[in-house]
Parts: sequence; structure tokens; C-alpha cells
Amino acid sequence: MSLLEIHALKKVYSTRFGTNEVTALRNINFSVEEGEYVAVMGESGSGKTTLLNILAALDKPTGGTVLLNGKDMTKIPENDISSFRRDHLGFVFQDFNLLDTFTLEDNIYLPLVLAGMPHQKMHRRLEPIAKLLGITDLLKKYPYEVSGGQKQRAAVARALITSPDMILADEPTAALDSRSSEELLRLFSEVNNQGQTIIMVTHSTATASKAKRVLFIKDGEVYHQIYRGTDTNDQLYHKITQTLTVMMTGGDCR
Amino acid sequence: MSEKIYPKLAWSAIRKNGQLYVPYLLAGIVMVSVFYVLSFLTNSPIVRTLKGSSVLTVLLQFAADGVGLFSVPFLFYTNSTLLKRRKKELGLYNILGMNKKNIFHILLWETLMTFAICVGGGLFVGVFLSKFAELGLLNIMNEQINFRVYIDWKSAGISVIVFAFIYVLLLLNTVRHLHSNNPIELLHSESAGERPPKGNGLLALFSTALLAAGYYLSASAGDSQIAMNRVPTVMILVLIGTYLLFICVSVFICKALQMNKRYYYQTAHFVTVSSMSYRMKRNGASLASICILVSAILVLLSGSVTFYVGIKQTIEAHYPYDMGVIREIPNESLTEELTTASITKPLYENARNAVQEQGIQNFTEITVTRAGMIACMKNGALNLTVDTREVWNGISSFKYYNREEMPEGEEICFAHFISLEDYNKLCGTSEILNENEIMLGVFHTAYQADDIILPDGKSQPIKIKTETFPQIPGYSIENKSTNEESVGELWIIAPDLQDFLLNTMHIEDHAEENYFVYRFEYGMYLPDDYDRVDEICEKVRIALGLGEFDGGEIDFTVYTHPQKVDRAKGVAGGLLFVMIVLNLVFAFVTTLIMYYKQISEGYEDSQRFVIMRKIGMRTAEVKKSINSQMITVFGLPLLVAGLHIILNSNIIIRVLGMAIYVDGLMPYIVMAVGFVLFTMIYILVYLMTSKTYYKIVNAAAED
Repeated sequence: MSLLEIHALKKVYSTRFGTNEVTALRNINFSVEEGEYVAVMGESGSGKTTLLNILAALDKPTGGTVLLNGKDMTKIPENDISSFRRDHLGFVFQDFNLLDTFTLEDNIYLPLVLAGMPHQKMHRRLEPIAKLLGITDLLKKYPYEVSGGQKQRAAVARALITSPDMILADEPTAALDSRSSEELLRLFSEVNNQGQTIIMVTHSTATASKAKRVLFIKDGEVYHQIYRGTDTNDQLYHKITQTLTVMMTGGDCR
Repeated sequence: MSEKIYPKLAWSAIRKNGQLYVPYLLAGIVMVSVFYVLSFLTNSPIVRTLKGSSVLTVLLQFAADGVGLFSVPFLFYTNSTLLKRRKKELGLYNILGMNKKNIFHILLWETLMTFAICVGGGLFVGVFLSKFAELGLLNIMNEQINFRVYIDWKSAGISVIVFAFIYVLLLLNTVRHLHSNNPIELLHSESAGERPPKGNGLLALFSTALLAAGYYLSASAGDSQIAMNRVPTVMILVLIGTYLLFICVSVFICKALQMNKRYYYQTAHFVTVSSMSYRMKRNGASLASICILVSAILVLLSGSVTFYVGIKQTIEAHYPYDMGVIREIPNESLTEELTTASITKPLYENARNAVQEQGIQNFTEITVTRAGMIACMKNGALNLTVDTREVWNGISSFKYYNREEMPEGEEICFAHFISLEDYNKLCGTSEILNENEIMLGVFHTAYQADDIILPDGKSQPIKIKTETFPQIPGYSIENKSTNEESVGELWIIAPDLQDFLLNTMHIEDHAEENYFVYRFEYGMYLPDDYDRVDEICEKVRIALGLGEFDGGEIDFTVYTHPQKVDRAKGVAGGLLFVMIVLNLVFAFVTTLIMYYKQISEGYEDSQRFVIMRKIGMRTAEVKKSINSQMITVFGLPLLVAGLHIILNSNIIIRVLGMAIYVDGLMPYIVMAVGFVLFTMIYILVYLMTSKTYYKIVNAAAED
């Protein structure tokens, strides 16, 4: 059984009076094994954000199933969604979404505090993660006191600390300069090597080329996918570029 | 740019920012209308005809000035909230190619429009309110009413000028903000990185010390005079202390809570404590303002109600009879044969004859001969060696000897003398005294000797019959409550008053030094003719050879009970009315501050709660967290205000006691009822304003 299985996922948005319908996701099928590092690529409007929102349980699909560890996420009652999200998923956002009223440490603790974990236990969990991400010295600082890259690392720590089944990252490098991006992606790879499943949405080829597998979405369907295999980052980068070119000129890979 | 576009842009800005502009305009309208109403009443010819109008107009003028003055910081506060949101828009105009001059034109138009709406609306509302106010005032004072509505142009003119001045200040302030920022800063001013506050332990300690000092001064004020002198100091201490408390101590407490990891890292406390600590410094001032306003409302309310209720008892105490004649004669203008014969006989007989001439048969008369003096007590004994003229500049004057500086063991007191016969008559008792024996009633002081020190320093022994001293009906003000000057009192009851004064007190040796006076009182009850008492009183006045009634001379008073009650009710009613108006203004201001807080915090917090939802906070948890935070934040001012009232109740009651008869529990009950009532109103306002907050936060979450 795969960690995540998506079958015939469909999402149709309708305007308020139901007169106009927009199909964001037509028919998405794919699965993710435990320990995978998947990048989802696509143009604006291709449906990749919708897909991520459904995976994050922030949105409900119109049709199809999303199985996480064999459990259908779309069937979770509204009341349990928040705690499900808290217990099984970790999030890294484009704009960090750190709370400016909290220190970095407290920001990282937030999901655990919501889950009611005692402080001692939280602290034990934080130590190795903070060390891994290189933010041990920054923990007492407030978000406005640190750089964008440091904020994003804190956000990663917040995603990791609940030991989620998978991490969902939405354009995690979009607000970072290239050096911070490199650093962040290196950390993602390292976290992934330790067994953490990561699904990342991006439209940056450089970012996607660090993943182990790249999914391409066009017009609400999975258009193509590339496995890294033994390729280096550069080789994968080229393959992605080629695919994107074909996609843009309207060719059909399948 | 075309000149025509400015008013258009200004008007659209007002409309687009409706959520903030409406309360801002409302604030202006209310302040203008209240100001107009108060100055209208000050100038109102109807008010001028009321009894006690001289006191009332001064009070009203004072209230009007107060409202005018208060409008400045208040409108500045409401405007600053508006300004914070507007900066972004102005920055955008600037970037889109408007120079500062263009923007100034927009702001000028905006201010002009705001001014026109506020003053126009305020005067419109004010004209109607003023009629209601007049009716209300007349009603409270039991006066005739009419329903003619009219505009007082003088008050309207003053209102326009005062508020024009305030709005010019507001415009200048806005321009100042605009000039000190470049467009990019303006654009981002709303989302600029906010610094968390640093708790300042020293200041926190200082504020607590200020409050403690204020409370101590207030609680330790032993008599009304000292209380009165301390009021300004206590007010300043509590005021500054409160502001510092909310700004520093609260941050300090939050920091301490954050240090307590087991407490802080609990779902229920985590978000609340951190947001409070983060926000407290900036919002401390507004919370402190709410606290001060709430305290002021409670003090004014309990004070005026106590006064209104207490004044009646005070009148009963001072003027117990339906009609009375009081003649006071200093000793030096009396001859040896002063007693009843030469003075009282014609007095009483003339009065009685005048009443009988009116065909009134059923009346009861009471005659009382008393004497009184101001004297010094040393080591618990009456000491006549001190010339009180040196330490007391006259009765009813506040410029007398400062008793706080009196030598240790010395104090000023009033000594009253009354014959046993009159005492028994007044009290309905049948006390018996042996020759040379006296009864001594001691109030607010202690008599610890068995003698009197005469002017030459010799000791004159007295025999005190120690028994419970019953209240003298009609003189309870001197007995139970402290007198106007709040000094101790001695009541000496002698079997033969004249003999005691001359042979024991040797009064002729020190009458002038002690402001000694005889007081002859003739009181009448007219059970069948109470409604004619004013008319009868006039005849008595004429019979006694006095002129038209003009409030009475110092040493010769002819009064009727209804006159005194009316007069007092006039003053108390006017006072109550002014207090009610002031309280309404304060309550409104409090509501507006709360509303503004909710709006500005709603915008600030909405993004935060969106994030928390994404991370996995349930809607219910968000709501719970918001609730706990808001209840704490808005409960604090109420709590501290309650504390202020309780800990300062001593000084409040002492000051009230100077003017009126204060029944032991009454002010406390009024305060408690006032507090409960106000808490209910406060909760209502809180619920109403927090709806706005939820709306803002939810709107952001649903985007």
C-alpha cells in the first residue's frame, strides 16, 4: 500500500449562483510511496494549488478519493479535520506564515501546543530538529529579527516537529533569494534522506530539479512525470526544461 | 489636476472607509451636540430662573468646558486609528503621481466634509437634545415645563468655533504624519514589522508604588477636610499609576507568565498570553483610558446619587421644623441681663402673634436656647488659653488653620451648650443632673480629662455624668456625620445653662477669642397648614421687622421647610443632571474606544488566525482563544476600576460627608449597584463591539 493514493480526483468550482463552472482538476491519478520527494509542477491555473489544498485538507474535492495510509481524507468529518491536519501533515508556505507575536521557538511549538503536548516533551523534540536546520541560536528571536531564509527554516522545523506522514510545501523558495533557496533545498533533501515524505508545489525548474520525482500538471490532469533515477540535478534540470517546452508548445508526451 | 476631483476623491475616501469613518463621524457629532446642549443650558433663561441657578450655571459651564477639552484627545485618538488605515491609501496616491500638495487638498476636503457633517449633525441633534435636556432638568427639579424648541445662536456659534479649532488641529496632525513619511513607508506602514514590547521592571514597580501611595493617602484621610485637601494628589497618583500599570505592569506580568513554561504552553493560554503581551504596550494606553473613564463614571454616579438622596436628610437635620426663626447673637453685644427675657420674649411673641393672626390655631412650638463656640482641645481637655482667632479665620471659610499642621495633642473643636430642660424637651427624655454636674457628648474626638483649662491657665474641675448620650433629633448632622469643617464636637448639657457659662466657663473672659454666640431658635409645626407655610412665614418676617425674603441673614434666619427643601433639591437635581450628562458622554467615549480597539485589533489578528487555522487550529479553538483573550483584555479595566472605587471609597465618602448627611452604608450600596449596573452595560457594549471583531476575522479567514 502506498502512503498516498489519489484516484480520479476532480474539483469543479462554481460561481455563487452556479451559472459558471470552472474545472480546476479534471482527473488526477497518482500515488506517493513513503520516503518519496515529489515536486509538482505546472503553470498558473494548471490546478496545482487546488491539488495541494485538497491534499492539505483545506479544500474538499468534487469527486474521487485521496487515501492517506489507506484512510480516505475526503471522508473525514469537518470537526476532525483540524486535528487530522495537525497530526498527519506538515506545512511549509511560500510566505512562511510565522506569527509575529511568537518567538521562533514558540512558532515551532504551536502545533504541539494545540495538540496539548507538555513542554518538556516538546523541547526534547525540538532539539535535534533545530540542530539539523541550524536554527538553535535563533530560537529566542522574533520573526522580524531574522532573515527570510531563517524564517523559512523555522517554518520547516514547525512542519517537522509533529513527525507528520508527509510535508506539503507550497512554493517554499518563491520568497527566498537563490542562496537561501539552495540552503533550504539542501535541507529538504537531507530531511528526505532521513525518510521524511515531501510533496512540494513549485514552478521553478531549479527547485523541482532537487526532487526525486517530478509531476507535471496541465489543465487539471497529470500530464507527465519524471523519476530522477540516477540522474544528477543538472540532468534532471534538463529533462524538466524539455518537458516544459513540450508542454508549452502543446505536444502530447503520453 | 482638475480642482473638481478633490472633493470627489475626498468623498469617496470617506465612503470607502465607512467602517472607520462612521464611528469617527459619530464621535464628532456626539461631542458637538453634548457641547452645544451644555452651553445651551448654561445660557438658558429657563435654567436661570431655577432655584440655585447660580451654582447650576457654574456647574454646567464647567461641564461644557470639560467636554470641549476632552474632545481634543478623544477626537485625536479616533482620528489616529483612522489615519493608520488611511496611510496606505495616501501612499498609493503619492506613488500614482500625486504630490503632497494634491494630497493635502484631498485631506483638506475630507476635513471640511467631516467638519460640516459633525458640526451640522451635532447642532441638529443638539437642538433637539437641548430641549429634552431642559425638560429633563426641569423634571428632576420639579419645575413647570413648556415645549417650545429653539436654537440658541450664541451656543451654536461657540460650538462651531471650538470644533473648527479642533478640526484644524486634526488636519495639521494628519499633514504632519504625511510629511514625515515617504510613499513607500506610507504604503507599508500597516504591515511594518512590529516590535514586541520590553517589560520594564523598574517602571512597573514605580507604577505600583504610585497606586499604593494614592490608595494609602485615600484610606488614611481621617476627616473630610484632610480628604478634600488630598483629592487632587490622589487623583494624579491614581491617574498616572493606572496608565503606567496598564503599559508596564501588564507586560511584566505577561512576561512572567511566559516564563512559567507549564502555564504558558497550554492550549488555552498560549495564544492569549503571547498576543496580550505583544499588544499590551501599545494598547495599554487605551485600556488605561477605559479604566479611568469607568472609574470616573462610577465615582460621579455614586457621588451624585448619594448626594441627591442624602441632601433631603441633611435638610431634615438642619431645619427640622415646618417653620422656624433662628437668632444668633455674639456674647459681646449682650448685656448682663441677656437671657430669655429681653431677646427671646419679643422674638417668640411676635412670631407667635403673627401666626395666630392668620387664624391658625393648631400649632406646636418649640423654643431652644443654645450657645456655641470654637475652642481648642489640648491633651483631651478643653483649653481656653488658646486664642482661636489666631488659628481660625472664620466659620464657613476654608482659609483657616491647617489642622494637619496643628501641634501634637492639639485640635480644634466646636463646643455646644444646651440646658438640661431644653435637652430633655428635644429628646423627649427625663434626664436628671445634680448641681454642678454636666452631661457631655463627644463626637469625632475624645475627652480625656475631668477639667477645663481656663484662659488664665487654671484648672476648672467639671463633674461629668457618664451615661449614653442620646441623639438630639434635628441635630443629627452634628452628631452622626462630620460637620462641614469636619472637626470634633462637644455637647455640654448643664442643669442651668446661664450659671454654667458664667461661673464654670467664665465665658465673658474669652467670648471673643472663641467666637462665642448664643443661638435662640423658635420652631413651629403646623400640621393643618403646611401648604400655607410660605405665606405664613412672610407675615412672621414682617412682624419681626425683616425685609423681603432673600435667603436669610447670617445671624437672623427665618425659614420654612419647603423653601429649604426646594433650594437643596434644585442644587442636588442640577448636580445630578450634570452628572448624568457627563456619565453619558463618558460611557459613549468608552464604547467608542472599545469599538476602535476591536476594529484595529480585528484587522491585525485576522491574518494571525488564518495562519493558525492552516496549521491546524480548529474554528472552535480559534473562537475560544479569541474569547479568552478579549475577556481578559476588556475585563482588566473593569476590574481595576472596581479596585479603584473600593480602595478609594474612604476619601469619596469623606468628601461627600462635607456637604451632606451620609448614611453609613448608603454610598457603598450605591457604588455596588452602580458597579453591577455598569458591568452589565459594559458587557453589552463588549458583546456588540466584539461582533465587529469576529466579522473582520472571519471575513479574512474565508478569503
